[in-house]
Amino acid sequence: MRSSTAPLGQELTQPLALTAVGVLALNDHVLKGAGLLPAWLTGKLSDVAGLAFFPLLLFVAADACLWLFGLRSHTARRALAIASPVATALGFSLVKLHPAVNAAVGAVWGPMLLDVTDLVALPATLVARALLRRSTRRDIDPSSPPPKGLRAAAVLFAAAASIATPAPQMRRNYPAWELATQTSRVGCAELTAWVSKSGKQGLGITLELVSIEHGCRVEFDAAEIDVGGQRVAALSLPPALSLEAPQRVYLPFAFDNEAAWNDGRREGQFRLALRARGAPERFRTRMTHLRLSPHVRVEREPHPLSPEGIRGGPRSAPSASPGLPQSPLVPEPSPPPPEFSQPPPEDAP
Amino acid sequence: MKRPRSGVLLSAWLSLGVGCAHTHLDHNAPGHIDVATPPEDLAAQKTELPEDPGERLLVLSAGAFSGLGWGFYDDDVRTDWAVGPELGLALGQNPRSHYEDDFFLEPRSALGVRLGLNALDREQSGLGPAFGEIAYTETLVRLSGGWAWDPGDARHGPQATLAFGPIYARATHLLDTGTSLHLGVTISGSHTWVWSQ
Repeated sequence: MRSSTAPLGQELTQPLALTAVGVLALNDHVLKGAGLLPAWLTGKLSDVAGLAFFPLLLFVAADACLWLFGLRSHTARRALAIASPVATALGFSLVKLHPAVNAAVGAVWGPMLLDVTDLVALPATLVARALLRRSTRRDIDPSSPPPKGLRAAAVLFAAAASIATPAPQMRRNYPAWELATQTSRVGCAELTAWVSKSGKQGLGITLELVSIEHGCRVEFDAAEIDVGGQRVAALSLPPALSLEAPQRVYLPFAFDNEAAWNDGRREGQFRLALRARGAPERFRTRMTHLRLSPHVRVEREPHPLSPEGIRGGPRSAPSASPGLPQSPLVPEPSPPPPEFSQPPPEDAP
Repeated sequence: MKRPRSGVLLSAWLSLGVGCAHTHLDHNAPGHIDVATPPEDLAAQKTELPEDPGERLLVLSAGAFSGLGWGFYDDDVRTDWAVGPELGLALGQNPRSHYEDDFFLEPRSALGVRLGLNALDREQSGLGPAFGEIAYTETLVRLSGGWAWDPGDARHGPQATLAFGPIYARATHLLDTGTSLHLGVTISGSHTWVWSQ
């Protein structure tokens, strides 16, 4: 078995291979999601560029392994030149056709659409096969191999481009304060309270007051929250209300809520002092700062030629991944929040 | 053949060790709100979605550059090359907070410093010029400018680099000596500290 002296990695320095890697990197990191090209086109561009160069990367990696173990020969390289494009085409087809394979590969490599129309890109592996055939038919003259630095850079760039799939579209779920008790009777009125704003700058509570006795009038004396021992008064109190009809008022509380979250001060209390028909009343409830669910992955738009795209019809709003509870922060309609037992894992800043 | 093979294995191991890791200085921070303004829909019994606060990033990178080009010295033009280590420290920001499954975490825009040394170059007479640059990065494009100084013979002069991702073009003018223009590649690992804005 004649050993090969072909320079390692030379297959990736060919202009066509470098172009394919460049197109993939540009497409994944600049064009996708930029709105310059339709999503189905950027998706196909990735597939074509990836299938053109990935067999070369696979070949170079396998060739390097042969070299490390002293098994590199012309015969082995010629076999690899066939096996790499075939393995790439088979793997790609499985990922695009088989849900279990798609899920397993997607868990490691990032999400990939299960879309049979993506198989139109398969002929791109023939480009890789042609390059590999030419490269292994006769080893390039060792007197003029591509510079080592260029070969190393090409291999690293190709490896980076192949693993750097674009970030999936996600909908972020933020932590928010919640009140333990929301509705209570306060003299002649029924009071319902909820946290309507929650963020780094503090929180806001909305009160809804409904008269349950004729001629009910409510005056606000004080409103404050206690966040882990820090007492914060409302920035402003609403004027007195005559409850001929239900009334809603907003109570803003400004404080460093980010510091409270980061320090772990996530329990608190909301206290309200008011007078209903002149009689003093109090409303008091516990508050908890929670993030009820992880961030939610938003599904990609279906390809216009895919079965989902052809079926058409009104596109539904981006949906949460199955099995994930909805956040209380997402727009209505949303199902009632699930029973909360343990905080979700802290998986991102 | 043993030395190059060991070198490849050692390099691969070191690359894995350095990688492109990041450390969270906080987790799942609250979003931005205007607390003084009531929610748009006062009747909606829900918490209004806050704005993504984005994030700040401190990136420490270490790697090596290798460039090939031309040197213009005393009316003579010749091929020129340089290889050496390069260190970078940059403070940047992303308008959108990242998610755990983002693999690479790079700031959208960043300002920082880069230090490098032409450890090997065409002349091969000891170390070549060291350099320091102030660098501004926007998306994948980095523009940096600074000063190069040769510790061997005290030659010095301005230097500017334009980079797109790992690919760079660098011009160095050493006063009373000449100018070099290089095109090359920087391969580096980085560690990023990230926190919510």
